[in-house]
Amino acid sequence: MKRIQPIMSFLMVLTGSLSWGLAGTEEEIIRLQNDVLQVQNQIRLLQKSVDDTTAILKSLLEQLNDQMATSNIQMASVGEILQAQSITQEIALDQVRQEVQSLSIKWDDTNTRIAALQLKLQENQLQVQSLRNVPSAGSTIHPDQVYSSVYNDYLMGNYDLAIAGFQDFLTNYSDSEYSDNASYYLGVCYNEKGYYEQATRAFDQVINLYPNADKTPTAYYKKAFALRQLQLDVEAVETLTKLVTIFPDSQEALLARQELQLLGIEVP
Amino acid sequence: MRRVSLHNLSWLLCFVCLLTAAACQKRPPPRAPSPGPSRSGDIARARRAGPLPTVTLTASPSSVERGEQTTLSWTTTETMSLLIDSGIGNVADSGSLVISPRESTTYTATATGPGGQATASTRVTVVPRSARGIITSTDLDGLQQALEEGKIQPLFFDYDQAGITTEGERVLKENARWFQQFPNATIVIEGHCDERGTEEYNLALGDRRAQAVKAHLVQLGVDPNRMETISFGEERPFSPGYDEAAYRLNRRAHFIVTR
Amino acid sequence: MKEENRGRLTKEAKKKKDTRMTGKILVLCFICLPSLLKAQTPDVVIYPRPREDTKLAVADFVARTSDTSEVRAALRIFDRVLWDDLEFSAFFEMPSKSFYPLKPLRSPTDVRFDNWKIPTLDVDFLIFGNLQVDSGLAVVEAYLYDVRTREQVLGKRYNISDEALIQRVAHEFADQVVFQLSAGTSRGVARAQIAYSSLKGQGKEIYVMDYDGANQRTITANGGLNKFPEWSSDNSKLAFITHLPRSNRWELWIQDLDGGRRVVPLPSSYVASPAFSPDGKQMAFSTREVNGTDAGIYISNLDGGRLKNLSNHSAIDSSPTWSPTGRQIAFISDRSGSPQLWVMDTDGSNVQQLVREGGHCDSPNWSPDGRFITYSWQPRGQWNHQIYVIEVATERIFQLTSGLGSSENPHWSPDGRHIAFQSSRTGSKQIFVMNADGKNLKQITAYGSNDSPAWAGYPVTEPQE
Repeated sequence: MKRIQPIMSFLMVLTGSLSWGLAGTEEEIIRLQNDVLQVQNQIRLLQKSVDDTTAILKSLLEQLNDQMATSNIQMASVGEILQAQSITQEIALDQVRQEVQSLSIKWDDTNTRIAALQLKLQENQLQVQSLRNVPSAGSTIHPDQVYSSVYNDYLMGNYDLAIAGFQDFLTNYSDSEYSDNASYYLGVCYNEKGYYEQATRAFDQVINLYPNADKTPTAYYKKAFALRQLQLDVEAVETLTKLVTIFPDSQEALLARQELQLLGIEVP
Repeated sequence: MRRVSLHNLSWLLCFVCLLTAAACQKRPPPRAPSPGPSRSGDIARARRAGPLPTVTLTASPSSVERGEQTTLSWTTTETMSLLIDSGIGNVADSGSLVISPRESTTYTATATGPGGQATASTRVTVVPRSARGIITSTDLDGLQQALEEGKIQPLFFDYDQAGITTEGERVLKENARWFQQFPNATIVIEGHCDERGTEEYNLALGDRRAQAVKAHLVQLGVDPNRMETISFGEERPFSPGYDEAAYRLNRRAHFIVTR
Repeated sequence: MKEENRGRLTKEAKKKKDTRMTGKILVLCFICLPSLLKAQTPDVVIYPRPREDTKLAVADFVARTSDTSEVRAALRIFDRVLWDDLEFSAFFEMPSKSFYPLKPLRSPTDVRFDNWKIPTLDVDFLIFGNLQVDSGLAVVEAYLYDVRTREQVLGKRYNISDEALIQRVAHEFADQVVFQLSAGTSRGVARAQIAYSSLKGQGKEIYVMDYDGANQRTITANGGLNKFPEWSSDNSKLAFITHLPRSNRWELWIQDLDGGRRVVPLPSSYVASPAFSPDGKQMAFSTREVNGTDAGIYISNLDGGRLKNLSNHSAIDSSPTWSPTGRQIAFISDRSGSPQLWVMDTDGSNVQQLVREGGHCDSPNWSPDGRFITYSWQPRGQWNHQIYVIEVATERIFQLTSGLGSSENPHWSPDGRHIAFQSSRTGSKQIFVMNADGKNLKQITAYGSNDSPAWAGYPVTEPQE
């Protein structure tokens, strides 16, 4: 969950940087630059922690080598003592055993620590990797998270990002429970950008594929708006009339009636 | 929809004008509008060194029908602060303000500068829109007396509700009799709430309560054009306590009489 | 785990048409919510998250030439305000001044960077500078250095005509520092003022103060009830509602801070909760048709023209707040039975219920980045309101306040990292500020009764370079 967030933000930055050329406003560029800065910061931080961990590992290995060397020397001296003295000195032997034991405990301890450090190192490397590699769309990310991140772009007024995001969402999760909402908000974003023909198509998708979804009445209403912008008044009136007939109790039908009345058209 | 409400509004306005017209007959006739920039004398003697402030204050037009707007304009020199009375308060050194006074008002601007004080006044005369109609002040006095004697009762509501209770219905029936006995006085219905809700929602809830009472009184035959409503939300509690007994007293609609 | 649970529940709730079924789900949500909220609080991811991972030292400023009592007084104010501003920004970890090297820092040549890298300090950035007061004129030189690279990040010289403005300069430099070190995430909130409503005798007047509670001054003095102030996006105007003494109606006032004032003509005696649209051309508010029964959400031009009813519903609709794009309005409606949080598009379509937990919601305020809405909520069966935040896209809810008294009327700071609200936890209604994750609570008014804080947007003038 936590790890997905940096991935997501990086994914968004990449998608964003692709859509620059299309129609990036200056604000978006600044926002994206900020995001890039933040990601770079994160990478730097991670790199630093990786470096630190490696340094600690190195010093530990050195310590270990030193310990090995000293124990070798001790072993050698033990051998000498054994050779020089008779085997009746069992007390000395016990001492040696104890020393060997404590050495092996130390050895185990060091091993555990090295293993733990290796794990941490791997984790860090994974994180760095995941930040560097763009995960392929449709991997382990849950559709809810993708949808809400794109919806956030819509809420923040980043309509270009949102359009690209909703399109990707519809391609990757065509049968998600948010597909109707994604089509609907794709249309809304097109309306915001003034791409009214695309908007009409997106709203048609809601109307045709999800005739009883909670966004369907408002899709009719927004489609009529797009048609009016395209000067297709006849089609607009047709859409509003359909809305009033199919969803007579909806809030949008109320708005549609008001508009039709303003146009002097008899409402069923 | 809008047209209907405008229609009603204009009827209400006419009625208010009628009432004012009648009321004005009792009072001295309004003074003639003073022309242009009025007396800019009254300059306080400068106590300290420094140039005296000057101030001019004009109203254009200086005479309006009730409900219309007029523009108050002022200019000053050598002024640090400028205060206009009659509910306007501190204003910029020069500027203008669109106002719509309910009654004839004399506005006085007081300029304070390093050299002392200066004042200027102008009068906005508010005339009734039409002079027809009769009102007898006995109605007003009679209803006021009934109110003071406790014959016109407030009514209380359940928590977060604007529905009239059975007890409320009885109170309103009684009140309606008094209102009809004095048909020429205007009644203000105040809606109130207890303090447990939030201020914004409570203001709307108090309004809903006042409107519900008005609608009920209309059903009982009281002329809607003589009833005004205002919500105070949780601003004006009857009882300052923090228990259900106090809250019950604060969830109320009560009545005041106005001209 | 629990979080996913709730997500599924609300999704279901959204889809189900059967009211009885929804009722059951509501109850479920309601039961699991309190424990859920507690479980979530420690690692709430409120964006932009207060980071507090840059270590910053703010050395006491030094008298440049003569160390008079006048200068010392100014220095005390400047040091305190600058420290408080930077601490409040929630971007920095600021080690105690007791660890600082003793040598005063007057200019960059005085700095021994190694002394600031000792283990007890180990700061990333260092602020220092000097101050001079000369016959009422004050000069402040302020520096921000990167301790690692030993490079100057900021160097500012402020000439002030009046030493009373010393606080303003501290606020301004604090905002500059925040802007620089947050990589533009925030422009700083130290100069953004807070408008509020304050009880005076029988009435309530509109006041404005600095975000730290200093410099309180009155905007209205009409002796009536003045409530619910809200700033225009360029901070030049305040809108609020007014009930003048002896009047029988609420009026919608727009007060130009330069002095002019206008009353917006409206049809009925009820109006509340005005809010300027982000483009400053329209207002949303709650009002009612002259013969209507219930409050609705309306928008109009600033002169009252083109008045349009957006909510068209026989229920109380109140407390509108614009999304930062100006395309949506969140509001409170009791159409589902009790006042809950709803959202709609500004053309009146696409109405959705956002909070469906029951109880009483009120005073929503949309975050400047569009992602969150803060509001007050009183759960069923309780009589206290607390401050909550909902993430609009995911409908995840976070509780920010708890404890005694009622906390209401939350309002975002312009950088979306702080929230101002009113609380009766001390016995009377007072104004508090806190981080957007509920930490770092600070009371900023103490006398009388004060409510409905509204944080102004960023100052329109860019931070000077």
